[in-house]
Amino acid sequence: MGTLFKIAWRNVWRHGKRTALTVITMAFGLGFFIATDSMLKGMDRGGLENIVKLTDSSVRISTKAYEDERRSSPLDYGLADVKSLETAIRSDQRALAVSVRTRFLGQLSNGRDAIPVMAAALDPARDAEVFELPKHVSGSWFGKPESRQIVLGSGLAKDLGVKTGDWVVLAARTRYEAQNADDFLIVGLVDSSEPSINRSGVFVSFADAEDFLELEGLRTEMVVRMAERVNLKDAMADSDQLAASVGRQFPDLDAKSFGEVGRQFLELAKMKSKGTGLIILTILLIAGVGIANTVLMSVYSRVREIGVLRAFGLRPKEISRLFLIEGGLIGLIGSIAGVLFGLVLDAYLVFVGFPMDKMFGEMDMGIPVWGTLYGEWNIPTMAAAAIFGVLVALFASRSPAKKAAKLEVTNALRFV
Amino acid sequence: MGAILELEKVVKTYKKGTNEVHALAGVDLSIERGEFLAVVGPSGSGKTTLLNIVGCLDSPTSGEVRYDGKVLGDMKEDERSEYRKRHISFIFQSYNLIPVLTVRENVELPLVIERKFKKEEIRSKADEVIAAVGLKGMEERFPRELSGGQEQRVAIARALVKNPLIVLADEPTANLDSHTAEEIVDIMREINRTRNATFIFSTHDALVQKHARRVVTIRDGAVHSDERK
Repeated sequence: MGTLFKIAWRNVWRHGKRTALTVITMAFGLGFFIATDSMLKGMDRGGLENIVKLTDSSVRISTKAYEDERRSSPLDYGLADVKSLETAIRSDQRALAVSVRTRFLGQLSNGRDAIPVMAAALDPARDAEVFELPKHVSGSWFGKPESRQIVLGSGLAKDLGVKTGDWVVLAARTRYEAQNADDFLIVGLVDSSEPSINRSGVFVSFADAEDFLELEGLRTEMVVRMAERVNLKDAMADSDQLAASVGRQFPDLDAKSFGEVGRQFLELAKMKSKGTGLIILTILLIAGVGIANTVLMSVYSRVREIGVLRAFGLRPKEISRLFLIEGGLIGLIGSIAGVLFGLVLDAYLVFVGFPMDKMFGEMDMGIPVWGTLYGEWNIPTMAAAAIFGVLVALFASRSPAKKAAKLEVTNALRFV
Repeated sequence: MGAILELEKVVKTYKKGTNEVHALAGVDLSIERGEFLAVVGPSGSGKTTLLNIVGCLDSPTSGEVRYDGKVLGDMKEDERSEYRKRHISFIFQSYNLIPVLTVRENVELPLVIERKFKKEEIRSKADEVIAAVGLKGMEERFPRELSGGQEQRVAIARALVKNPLIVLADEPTANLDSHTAEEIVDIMREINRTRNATFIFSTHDALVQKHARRVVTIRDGAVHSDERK
């Protein structure tokens, strides 16, 4: 085995350019696979963080009737006893902050054009304890209530051609179905990692919304921030437990946990990433064909050598093994190069990130995160890619190896 | 001394398209241990086919080849490999060294394939035959760093390292100049004498024929003459 390995190893480098080309193809295939996986994982993490920190919180509670009609954000189903609900939630040590929101649909106008928006009325101070929106605001996250104030998504502001300090008209139906419209002063613009907020997010304070929407204390949902956990599964389990506990204590309410929303999100993300997987598989198949070609060329260029080895008593299966080792070695070198290339790409994605906004501008890519997308270290993927690379190489070498083993000794020795 | 190789009515027919080519047409031959035998004849007379069959690289279409009484034709592929591994060595016209192995590694190869010896034994046996063919000091060179004569010496060392009973050499001097060819023949004669290895050559070379102690002439696939000196 040692001599077979030695012959195989030296033959790998005997045709350095040929080997290098195959290794480069593999390295690119595997490297991009690793980098794409890193980005997809980063996207998943970013999307999950957005759910918790920007859109839904760890646990989001509303009435069952409201949940059924959530898409239309009706002002018909408020939480009946906000205080008792809050007390129940706060009894769980893991619940760090609680706030309430009232969502509504409206239209925002700059005086010429109007754009439909998803708006939320909130308590700015308490909401900031649950969500991290203020961190992404340029301008201010509401100020002294001298006039009606509004915070908009940056994309929405761009679409309307408005900026901080401008006035916009917000129109919406009140709780009693009356159409209302009023001027709001833009005090802040949100440029977050959540594309939907940037595109159509509108936030007003309860102080203004009470009058404007005739809320009379109507709160459609309660949002909860829970203690952070290092492990995603633990964070999901915590939210599942709190949601289940709320569900038991308040049968009329629907408590959506981050675990439930997050799992749905990941499921969707998994489906979306299947297309990427196919592209990567194609690259690896091309690399596989390259390896098969390299080994086959190696067989053809060494027919006489095979004849000599057979003449000295090497069995057909040992000849086959020789070429399998050779293919496996090329696969191993290609895999190592691929993992190293993937590591470099990963490092760039993790530390520098991929500027989605600069690359794609205003285009809606259907991606759950925006701004700079950071990758994730993905050691298991690297290991899997390396193993897969070697397996592809071995599989690709099988046929040429068999061909070598089947060569007639006399023909092989005559081969020029 | 008894025969170690016996050929009885050996026929070899090849198909070339729709035609049949009779490479050997009933060869009878008995070869004793320690012979220094040249097989001569014009090109296409069947010399190489005869060597291939004796070396178990090819099977006869009919007839029998017996080595120490055992019929080679009855062997399966793996048994034939085993037979070659244990008893036969080859020297080729174009040397056929493994280019990625050094002189020493090329010479060690048959012993490594045989898997019978320890590493140190393999090394010492290889160094011994390398010295015997006059290549001491060149053990670490690669074939590309050698002249044709030196390559053929390595091929001879490789053929002899396992102390085979039979060495088959197909035109061993064909690619060499006359001076080097003479040196190579001298080395082979010396080894034939000291180790009692049986040498069977196919050759056109008058020099080899001159030194052979037995010359078998093949014509049209049959033994035309068998002359002992």
